[in-house]
Amino acid sequence: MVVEMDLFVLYRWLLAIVCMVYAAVVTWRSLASWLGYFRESRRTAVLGRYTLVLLLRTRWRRFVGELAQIVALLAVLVLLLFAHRGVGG
Amino acid sequence: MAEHPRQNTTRAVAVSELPDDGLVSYGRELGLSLDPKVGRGELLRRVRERQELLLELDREAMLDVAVWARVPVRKSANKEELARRIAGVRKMDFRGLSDRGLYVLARLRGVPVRSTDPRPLIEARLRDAEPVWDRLRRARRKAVGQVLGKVVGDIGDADEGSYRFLPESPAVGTLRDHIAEQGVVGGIAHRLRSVADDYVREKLDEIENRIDHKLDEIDARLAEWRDKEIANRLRILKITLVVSVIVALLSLGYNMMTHWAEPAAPEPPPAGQVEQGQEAAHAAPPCSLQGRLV
Repeated sequence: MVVEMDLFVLYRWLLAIVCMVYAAVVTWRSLASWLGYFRESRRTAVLGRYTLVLLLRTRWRRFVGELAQIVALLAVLVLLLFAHRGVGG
Repeated sequence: MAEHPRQNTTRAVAVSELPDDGLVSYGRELGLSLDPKVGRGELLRRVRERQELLLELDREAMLDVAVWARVPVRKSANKEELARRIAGVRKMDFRGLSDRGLYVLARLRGVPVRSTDPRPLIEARLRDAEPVWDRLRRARRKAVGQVLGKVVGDIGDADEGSYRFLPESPAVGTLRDHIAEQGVVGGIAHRLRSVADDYVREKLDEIENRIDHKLDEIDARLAEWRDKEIANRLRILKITLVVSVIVALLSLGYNMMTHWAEPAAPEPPPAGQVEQGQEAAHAAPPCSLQGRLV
């Protein structure tokens, strides 16, 4: 049984899987190390609460421009992914 | 407690002498929502209206509101000071607030009510008068509070205790009073002690202010660092997305090229031609068919 293999398709899938796994592992490790640090002692727990408050006090309006660009890029990306279905996908 | 008429006259004169921006900030402190563009006459009218309202309201009822909202005030605070404190109160849970306090709160929030109106009606009008954005903000904060309460744990809610007014500023007697009360040595010693106490208190306040200032500086620097970090992360995310879009475009182009490069499938002949072809095949000699197969 011969399976037709497209190298570019294989490359795309491999790239997507490797990148996603890498991003998930790095994010998880970073989060786990921070949470572990904040649970080490009473002082670091206070530091953790302060960090939480500092994050909650973030003024997201300052980043409206950047966030809008990210949303637009995401929309373009989703459109392009859907366009693959129309062209022989 | 009635305010001294002379104070009101002085304030009225001072208000009319205030510049426009000072008038706006003074009115806002008293809980008015003022637009600086409306003109000086209108600003003055609104501020004076608010002053008249303060004269009309009961100070004890205003104290009730302060106690209900748990804002720190002295028991001897005047109406203006109380109004300033109450202006910042956005609380909408009226449990524990007396009827007269509810009436005063409604008047200060600009809700048209009468003192004879029943409590549920005043509460309903206060709820109706609350801006939608304030309502949404309150709902959002409530949700965030619930989440944080679960994460961090509720601290101090159970041990709130009863409200306490701020301590009154102590009355400073003269040296003559002290000597009359405690004798020459006792009076002078008391005076010296109080001067020394004042000096120490002043120095401690100074140190506390310095520490507060330093902490504020640290907080501001950390906030600045946080903003820079978030901006940096967002930039990285944007670059990643741009690269992803470029790769998706390349992929789409590749798909289109492979799709167009594929050889077109032969079209099926029309029905008439198919029948003729079949008849011809039947009519043809077997050798020619074999040739075709070979």
